Amino acid sequence: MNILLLILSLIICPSLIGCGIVKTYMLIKSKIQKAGSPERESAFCRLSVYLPTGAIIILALAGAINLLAVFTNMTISKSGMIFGICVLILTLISAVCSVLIAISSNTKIGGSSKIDNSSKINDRSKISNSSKISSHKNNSQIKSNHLGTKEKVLLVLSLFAAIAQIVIIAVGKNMTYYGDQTLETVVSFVSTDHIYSVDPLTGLQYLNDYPFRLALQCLPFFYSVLSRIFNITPLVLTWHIMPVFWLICGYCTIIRISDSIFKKASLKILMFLCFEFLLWCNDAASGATGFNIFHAGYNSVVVLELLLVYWTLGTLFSHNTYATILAIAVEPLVASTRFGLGACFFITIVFIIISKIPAAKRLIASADGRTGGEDGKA
Amino acid sequence: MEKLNYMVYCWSQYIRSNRIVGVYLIALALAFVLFYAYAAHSNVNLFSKVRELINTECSFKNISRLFLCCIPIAVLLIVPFTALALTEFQTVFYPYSALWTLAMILPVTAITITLLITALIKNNKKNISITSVILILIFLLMCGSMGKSNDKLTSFSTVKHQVSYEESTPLLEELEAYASSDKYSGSITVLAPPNITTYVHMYSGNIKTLYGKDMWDDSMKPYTYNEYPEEYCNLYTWINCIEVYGSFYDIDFATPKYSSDIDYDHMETMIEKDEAIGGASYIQLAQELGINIIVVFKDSECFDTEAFNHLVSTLNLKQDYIPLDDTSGYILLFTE
Repeated sequence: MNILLLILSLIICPSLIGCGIVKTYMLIKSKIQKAGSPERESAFCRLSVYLPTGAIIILALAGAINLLAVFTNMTISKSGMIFGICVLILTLISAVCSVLIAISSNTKIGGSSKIDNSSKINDRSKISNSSKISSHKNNSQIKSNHLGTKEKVLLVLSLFAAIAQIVIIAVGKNMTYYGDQTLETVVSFVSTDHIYSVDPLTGLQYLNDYPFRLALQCLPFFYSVLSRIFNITPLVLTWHIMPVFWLICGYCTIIRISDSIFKKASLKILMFLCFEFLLWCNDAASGATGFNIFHAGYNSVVVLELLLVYWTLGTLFSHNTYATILAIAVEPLVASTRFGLGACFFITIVFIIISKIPAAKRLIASADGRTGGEDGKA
Repeated sequence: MEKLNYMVYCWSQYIRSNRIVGVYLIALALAFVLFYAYAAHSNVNLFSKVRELINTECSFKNISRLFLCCIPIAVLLIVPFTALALTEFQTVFYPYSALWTLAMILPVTAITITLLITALIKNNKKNISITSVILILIFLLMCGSMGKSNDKLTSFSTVKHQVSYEESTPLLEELEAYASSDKYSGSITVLAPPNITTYVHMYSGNIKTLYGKDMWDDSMKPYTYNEYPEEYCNLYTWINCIEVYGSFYDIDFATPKYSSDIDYDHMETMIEKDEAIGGASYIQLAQELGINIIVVFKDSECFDTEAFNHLVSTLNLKQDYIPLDDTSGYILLFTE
């Protein structure tokens, strides 16, 4: 029951938070750009953006409360309570914002359809043209949403692969990862109710002071807080539940990347997903991405790659500066970085440098089809 | 110079163990050829030809940006100088393999294969297309480990008997029960073989040890923030010696070559020379350091039961036995 509650919370809270933030951002953006009502995203966009966005926001919140607990010597119980209340409040606010924005955008669409109706009374030819256009749009929408046989086969394959991966991680055997001490740290936090009061690897006091690098990383704190709130053993949470959550976040970020690359071409997106899942299974060298996903999915390296790096790539494709900055800011809370700068920062810098080089600019412009047409079309 | 050689070694090990990186580098090489051909013949719009080949439902702008970024990143990761700089950048806490997160290997490889197969499917010669697709899939499957496990995760370099976490659960439950009892007031300190020392901290925060897992590997030094006195090292080697040789011999640590890693050849030589005089001093040392329970692995094939029983009766120690299977198990020696 507690596990079910945790799973539902891990899906619902980040999704609602992400939904509220994304919708609010798009509303503000449309107001600034005076583009009228915000553009309606596709279902793909909704699925692939809300959950990772909410997860990153929650990680940022966990990092902030972790630091508060470190500097004020707060117990895990108290800081967990603060974290839980903050997440609940954020979820409620995001849910309310989402509903209000959805109502207001539906109202605007309803208003525009009333105007269409009034013009029908005045001008029959215009009415017939507009109805032809709308029916044409509906037909094209139906065409693009309709899945052929190949798409259906690939969809079934990719769903099967995803479910199999989730099951393997959730119930499979575990391994102790060389050099990793996440689980020991979570057990230590939960049993002592304090952060780094004892050395997680011995249970005794530190002989020297523990470094700030350890205190900054919020994943053990996040896991221990969840373990306390939902009364789940640290081992089950750290080794079985959280890897599945990060894996699902990874699915969302990968879908986002595929949407950016293949522009809603269902066949190619599904093919890409199938190959990505196959490569995750086959990437079995020690320390490789696929290996880490299946054997150390709770690790900071996995969270960094599946959630932050892939998400950063998606935001760079969509030129979303604020989202990129958020990923760079959250990375030091998840993984060890040099002066707070890590993989997301490095990739962003490379993207910026490449976009400034004249030869690369010409090549990207040519790829964009500016010499001969729109992007993605012959 | 040593560090640069180490980078070359890391790269060679990585490419040997991870064949998918080879596929990724081939994809980058193809992209580089395409970009270079465009640059050399800028009046020919190669992208329009590629579009005709692959079909137009792609954002070639984003694909170009991705490959244009991954090519220099891959070069930086392979060239020893820049790889060393990036290793310093990502901090010593992550191995060389973690650097390849920057290269986004799997999405780039998946995109390349998707585009390639799309182009093959569009080919009018169906037999060639189907055969090529099947060959690509077989090649991809062969890149993996085909289900082989990785020894680095499950093996403990200094432990002879590889006991899994699940197998050791009865022992861990027993230790937790002792820790929770009134006698020990909620926590106990244990001296145990390396795998049990690892597992106790994953199981419970009430069971303490003098040292933790991975403490004796020099490459793990950045992860540990404690320095252990020589006595801890002696006890660590002694408890491992019992597991390996099944006896309670003392080890002469007055030799010049003693390191935190177990030198088994040296230990074997010492025992053969019969410089050992029993195990009582180690148990007394453990008592002085506050150890409540000593966990000893007993394998009926090599355990010196006679010497052990003699030692236990001499020191008047209580014991308990947790069986692992028909032939082996763990003996709990209570030092108080």
